Amino acid sequence: MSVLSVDNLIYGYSKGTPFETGALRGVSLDFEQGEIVALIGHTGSGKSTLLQHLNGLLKADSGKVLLEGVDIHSSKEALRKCRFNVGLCFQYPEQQLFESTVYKDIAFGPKNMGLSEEEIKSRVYSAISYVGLSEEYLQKSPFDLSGGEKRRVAIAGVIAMEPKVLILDEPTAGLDPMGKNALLKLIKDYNHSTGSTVIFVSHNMDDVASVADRVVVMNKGQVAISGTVEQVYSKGEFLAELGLDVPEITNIFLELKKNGFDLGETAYTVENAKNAILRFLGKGEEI
Amino acid sequence: MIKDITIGQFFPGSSPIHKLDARTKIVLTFIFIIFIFVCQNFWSLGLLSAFSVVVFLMTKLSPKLVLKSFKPLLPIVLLTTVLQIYYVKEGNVLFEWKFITITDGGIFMAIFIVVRIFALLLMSSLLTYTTSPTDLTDAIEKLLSPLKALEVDVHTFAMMMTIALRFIPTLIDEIDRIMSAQKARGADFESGNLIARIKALFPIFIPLFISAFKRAIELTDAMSCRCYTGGEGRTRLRQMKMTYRDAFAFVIMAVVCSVIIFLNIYFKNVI
Repeated sequence: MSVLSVDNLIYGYSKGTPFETGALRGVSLDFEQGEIVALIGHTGSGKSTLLQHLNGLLKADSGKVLLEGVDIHSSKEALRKCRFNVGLCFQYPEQQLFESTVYKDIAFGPKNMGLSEEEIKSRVYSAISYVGLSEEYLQKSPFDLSGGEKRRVAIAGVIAMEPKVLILDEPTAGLDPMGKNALLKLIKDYNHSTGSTVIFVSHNMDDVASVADRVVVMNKGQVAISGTVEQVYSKGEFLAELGLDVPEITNIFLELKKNGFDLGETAYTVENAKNAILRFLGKGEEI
Repeated sequence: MIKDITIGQFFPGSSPIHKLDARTKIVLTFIFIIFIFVCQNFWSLGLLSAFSVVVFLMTKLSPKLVLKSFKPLLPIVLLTTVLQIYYVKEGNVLFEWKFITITDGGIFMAIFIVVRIFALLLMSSLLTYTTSPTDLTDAIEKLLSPLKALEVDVHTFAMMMTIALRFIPTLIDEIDRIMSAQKARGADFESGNLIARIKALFPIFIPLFISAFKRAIELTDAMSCRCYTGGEGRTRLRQMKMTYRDAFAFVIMAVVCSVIIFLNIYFKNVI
């Protein structure tokens, strides 16, 4: 059974007006336990709207969201359970920090869950270590931190609820390369060590290729393609039609092929590319 | 929920009311408000309310819109009605029970006040519905410009108003966003006692204030970068012009006002 699935969601923003962007026109998806799913699509394709349905912030006009087989809108308890089991971290989450110390801010979610002081404390400590900050940060004011650190504290605030599904809306937007890489590593590590499902939105195809197990492409409120990184990025032309792109390294491989260097396969990450080139040059995978 | 706020919203259109000069609209709305309180009996108030309804129909706005703007005031209206009925003890007694006496005078009075409030609200919301915020503040600046003689910084005041109006929708969006984010962390804004509810607002307002201050600093920087130095020597891209329409509007208002004064004198006063 999928940990989270959506069944034929239909939702319209500002119905009947010409501004009908971000609507959903029949979206059905299944998210399996432990996978990392990247959601891509150009602005207004309905990604963020879909995310807000996954934890019940928005309620679809028709269709269902099932968390472990239970409709999240079937009862108040189900919705509450969903809020805590599906952790949604919005775009620029650092803008929601409000407490006087990092500790208190991360503890906000667990406190709302009604956990004991002991449990909250242990969750805060493990959350801060997941996001790669040392414990001395806990007593600082969140407003004294740098942008990247604030972002990580905000994400820790969601992780501390120990959700079964962690959703991140453009987690790397506006971060420097170092902060970005650290965050992508965080996503992978979190997924590995807890076995949670992670769903994230990104506009950076390289990030998607290096982190995701599965890619879902949204277009005009519908799922255009869904599949593994290879399956999706092999349809470069189709993606271009949707205003999307393939990873840079894939473009290089396609150019190489055009110029007579058929490496036999197409690479989607730099790591793959390195191996493919070495193989092509007959030097094995070492170095 | 929070998106239902329509105060200060502008709905573009091409009705005669939309086309009036903003200064005309402000002055006439002001006169209208004064005359609401000049009205002393049902005849004059009826005429003025009918006038406001006619103006509303001319704007071709949806009635839903106006009803929506009435909604938040219903508790106040209800409270005044109850107080009026309770306190006014003139006229024939209709109902008596312990300390409660209801008289027909009290009921008339309550109806009178309610009609007044709605007429007032209707006309003032029409002003903002049919006038763009920029026009509105430009007009205020023009109308207040005589105060410059008293060393009042009219331009800065008008600029502050423009910016404040401009940022209402932005801040509403922001509140919406922050509320969703905190709800995602399990925040609960809809249950608990009064203190719990007030406490629940902190996670919204602290981030809101921080981002508002940030925005303000960014805005002032952007304005300085474009060489904004205040009102001195500043000219306007769009000049406001009064036309025959405005003259016509003033004439109609003058007629309505004269009739109201006549009705006030001719018929018995309710108040």
